[in-house]
Amino acid sequence: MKPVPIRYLRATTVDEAVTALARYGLDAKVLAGGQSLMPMLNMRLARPQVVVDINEIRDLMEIRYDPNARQLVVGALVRHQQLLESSLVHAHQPLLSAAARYIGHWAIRNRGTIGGSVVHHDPSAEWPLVTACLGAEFHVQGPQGRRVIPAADFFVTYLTTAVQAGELLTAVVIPCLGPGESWGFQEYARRHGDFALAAAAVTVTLSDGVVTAARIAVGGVADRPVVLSEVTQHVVGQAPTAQLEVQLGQWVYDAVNPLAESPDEQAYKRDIAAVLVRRAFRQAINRQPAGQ
Amino acid sequence: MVDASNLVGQSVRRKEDVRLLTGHGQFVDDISLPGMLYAAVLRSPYPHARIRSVDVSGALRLDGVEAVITGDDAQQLGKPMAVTLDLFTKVPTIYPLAVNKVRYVGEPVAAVAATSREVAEDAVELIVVDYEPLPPIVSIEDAEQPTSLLYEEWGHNRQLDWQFQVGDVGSALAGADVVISEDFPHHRYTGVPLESRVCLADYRPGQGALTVWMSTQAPHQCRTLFAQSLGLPEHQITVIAPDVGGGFGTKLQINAELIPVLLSIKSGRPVKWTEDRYENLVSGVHTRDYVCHLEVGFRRDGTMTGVKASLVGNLGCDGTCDAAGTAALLVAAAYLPGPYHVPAFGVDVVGYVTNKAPYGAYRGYGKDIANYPMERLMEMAAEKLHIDPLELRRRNVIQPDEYPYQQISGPLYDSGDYPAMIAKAREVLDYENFRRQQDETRREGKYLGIGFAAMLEPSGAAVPNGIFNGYEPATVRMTPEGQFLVFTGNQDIGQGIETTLAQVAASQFGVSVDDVRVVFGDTNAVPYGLGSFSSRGATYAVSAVHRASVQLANKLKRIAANILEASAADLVFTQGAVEVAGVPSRRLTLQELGNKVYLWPGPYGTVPPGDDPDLQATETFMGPRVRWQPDEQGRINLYTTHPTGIYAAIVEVDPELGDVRLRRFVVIHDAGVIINPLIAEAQVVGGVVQGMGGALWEELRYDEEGQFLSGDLTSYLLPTAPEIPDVEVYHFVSPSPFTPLGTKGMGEGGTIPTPAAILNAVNDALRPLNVFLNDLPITPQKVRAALRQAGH
Repeated sequence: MKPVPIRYLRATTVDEAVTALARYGLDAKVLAGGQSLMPMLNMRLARPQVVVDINEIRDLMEIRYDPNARQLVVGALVRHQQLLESSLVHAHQPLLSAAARYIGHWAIRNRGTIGGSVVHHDPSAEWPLVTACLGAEFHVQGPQGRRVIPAADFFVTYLTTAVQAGELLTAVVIPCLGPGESWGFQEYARRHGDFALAAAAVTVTLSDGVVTAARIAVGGVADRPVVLSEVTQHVVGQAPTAQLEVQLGQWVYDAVNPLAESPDEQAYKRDIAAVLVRRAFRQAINRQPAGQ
Repeated sequence: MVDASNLVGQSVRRKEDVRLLTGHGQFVDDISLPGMLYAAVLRSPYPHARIRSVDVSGALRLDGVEAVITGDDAQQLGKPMAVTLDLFTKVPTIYPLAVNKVRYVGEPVAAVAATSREVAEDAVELIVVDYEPLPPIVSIEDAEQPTSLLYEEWGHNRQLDWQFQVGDVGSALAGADVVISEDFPHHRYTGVPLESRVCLADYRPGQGALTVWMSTQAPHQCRTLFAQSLGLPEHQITVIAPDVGGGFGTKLQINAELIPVLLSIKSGRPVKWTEDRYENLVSGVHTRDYVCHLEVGFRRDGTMTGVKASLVGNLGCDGTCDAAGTAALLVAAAYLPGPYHVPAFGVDVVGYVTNKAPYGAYRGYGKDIANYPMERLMEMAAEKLHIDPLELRRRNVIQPDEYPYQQISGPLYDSGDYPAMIAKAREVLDYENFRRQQDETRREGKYLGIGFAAMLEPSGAAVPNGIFNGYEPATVRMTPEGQFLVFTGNQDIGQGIETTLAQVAASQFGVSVDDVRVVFGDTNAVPYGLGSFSSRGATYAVSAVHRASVQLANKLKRIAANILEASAADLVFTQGAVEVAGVPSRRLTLQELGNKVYLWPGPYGTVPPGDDPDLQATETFMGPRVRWQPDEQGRINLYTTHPTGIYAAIVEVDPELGDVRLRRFVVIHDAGVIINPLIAEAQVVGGVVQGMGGALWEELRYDEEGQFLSGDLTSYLLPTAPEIPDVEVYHFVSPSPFTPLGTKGMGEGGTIPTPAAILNAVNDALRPLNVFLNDLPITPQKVRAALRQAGH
């Protein structure tokens, strides 16, 4: 388990990284936390000619709160554990903190980065699901300059995103929790820290006992996170009763069409997608301040 | 200093841990030699294919490559792989690198020695092999009606075919009030040592001498197998096993290690091969993988009338030379009656070769195969007979006053008390209360279940026709400075023998374990012993060390008596000295004694007539009741000691997700006299966790075409700490009458009954939903599929 011969470059600024990436195009890979890339290199599943190490780019290491836009601006190099522990994140978008707990183990969270996770794009991973659910924006810099990609366009298919060869993801901009908005997150994996068999992220806004807005997304059931907009429309305008929860499960069951190796696995994923959304929804409702 | 009057039974901290936990252990991969090369192996991508040609010219041209070998070299430089164990089996003619055809995905086809592992792996990619794929034999059904043959010369795919019957099992079943029968399939899984196989081979052409450092459980047998597989004189071979990072049975063969040895012979340089995790999973030995059809007759009162079994194993490409697994099916057959009174018994055993990885040993070695179907069936019978599952077992188990007990199938059981353990299990589990709680929580939609398995662990095998024949020598020696060396053929593989054997020796000499060094793992240093397998340490090695220590202690007393002008019978060892009992002023420290014998004045002034100054003793322990000569009913007895136990799992099932959580795991355990409770408990818990792994997570999967699907630790799921509850262990002590200290080997007991207990618990939890699961591992997907089928 040794990689093929690789040229190693270390960038200390975004411009340096982009220059190197632009020069080597598809032959280059970005090395951030290395939690997916290094095993793939060692197993010779990835065979880039050049690895561009961005771990020393200071500009990408921060979490910033923008009170005007009510957004969190998360640098691409921010580690999972940093998100888990951040008081800014906890105060303004606790769904991120909750999801971070499910990522691997402590050692993995100390190294792995949000940028690495979303650009690698395992559709069972937590950050693709949560950023898709919340409608995050992805800031990318390339030889032609900067561009912003909305979550809906970012995740293309397994291990593929809208980031092009020569481009570097610099930040993920995530909307904060709104007034009256609460959240739920549920994930099920075979073992603690494994990639999810399925996971659900839900936000709910209640007003006068009625759901006025919601976001519902499921991970691990398709080639990218699935945002269930139609299901959300069914929910909006309804009171969050036990009966609604049962219906919600059925709507999710009908809406997802999991990709799987066998009919059994497909049926299983469908079953648990419905269960997890239902439970995440219940979690969100239970989290509503009393009297809402 | 610990009072050393009797260290047996004390939780002495492990001597080896200071070294291992501070990073000062020395494993094979830590050893380097000048001029050393690194090996990498080209492996078959096909489960079954003819090899038309192998072109290594591209690899040879790569800078840094020093040697490349193929099946041709294996034939020219060596001989067919020697037999590890052949009991009623067919033995194939095979080599460490494939000759003419490949028989499993991952089989070594060619190997490279180069100046770095990186270059060696680059070179492997440049080797071109022309394969002609053959139809793969993957399942037992494929092998039964062969579309192709693994070994054409056999004319079939059966490696093992054996039948045995005692009593009229047909009538016994016909006369039963209830007969329970079921097919119990068990998936393929294995031990995953933290340290994979690692081998450093150094062949010196000048001397014709071969030194092999390897991570093995059995250095001496490896030396013999190397001699036989290479045609080298055995006295020119040295095998050294330094610290070994786990074995679990998977390091009892040399099929992979022959590759770096052949590369060293070909290149004339030392060659190191460090197996990576993929290689270990794809080609390290696999186990289990069988179906057992079991029929058991019961009277209405729950007592058994007879047991009839048909056991069919999927052995992969081989279980006799490549690895030593085939005989596990025979062990299973002999132990199917388990801890129960069985008036009539019959069993058929068939082992098929298939295009999967070699079949080897793993914690259990057939005792698990004997346990799983029977303990599953007991729970089914309990339901059918409306008898509580613990009570049903109580009515059938061997009673404490019946030992030594001649089991119908051959084994002679040494001691135990199942009724008392069953009572203890009831108490510890607060069983009646649990059943009430179970009913209540079900009404809240929470599904708790409890499952049991009785455990019987034959330990210390003595198997004819191979390298596991069951005896063990030990030499105990005192130095002139009064410390002790224990030389053992037993091998430390992490199980703690550096401490436990030191405890046994130290107890005889009134010294601390720090005054005893256990020497192992070097065939030039220690007597030809058999290493660590079959939980034999506390049966064989301990007994040999004890007897050698007693013998040496007597000699030391005779010499000391001569010096002190006392009677040897009056002397005792205490606090590092030998003294006249009750007269502490008349004493010699062991340092004084050693100095006097060896130095001042020396032997002619100290040693009494009839003795000599060689302050060492060697004893060899043989199982006193092992019987290879069949009795009138064709029965033999291979194991000397038999730990016993009652295991219980409590699980909670989430029917919506198919999730199974282990809530409690209770072990009532009896391994006779325990040398070190701390180590014994760790053995039980470690074994339990491997059983839990097999029950819920670990699986070596192949697809229908024979492609291997579990080649890394994200697809082969090992249990991790968050999934494992505290394992509650309660010890009973029924000393073995067959060992001098009453000890019993006890390394496998934890693994043996755990899968049955867990699946029994899951079925108990889901009983109100009319679900019956029969497949391992119990995955959430399987749980949901069963529930869906039942309309949930």
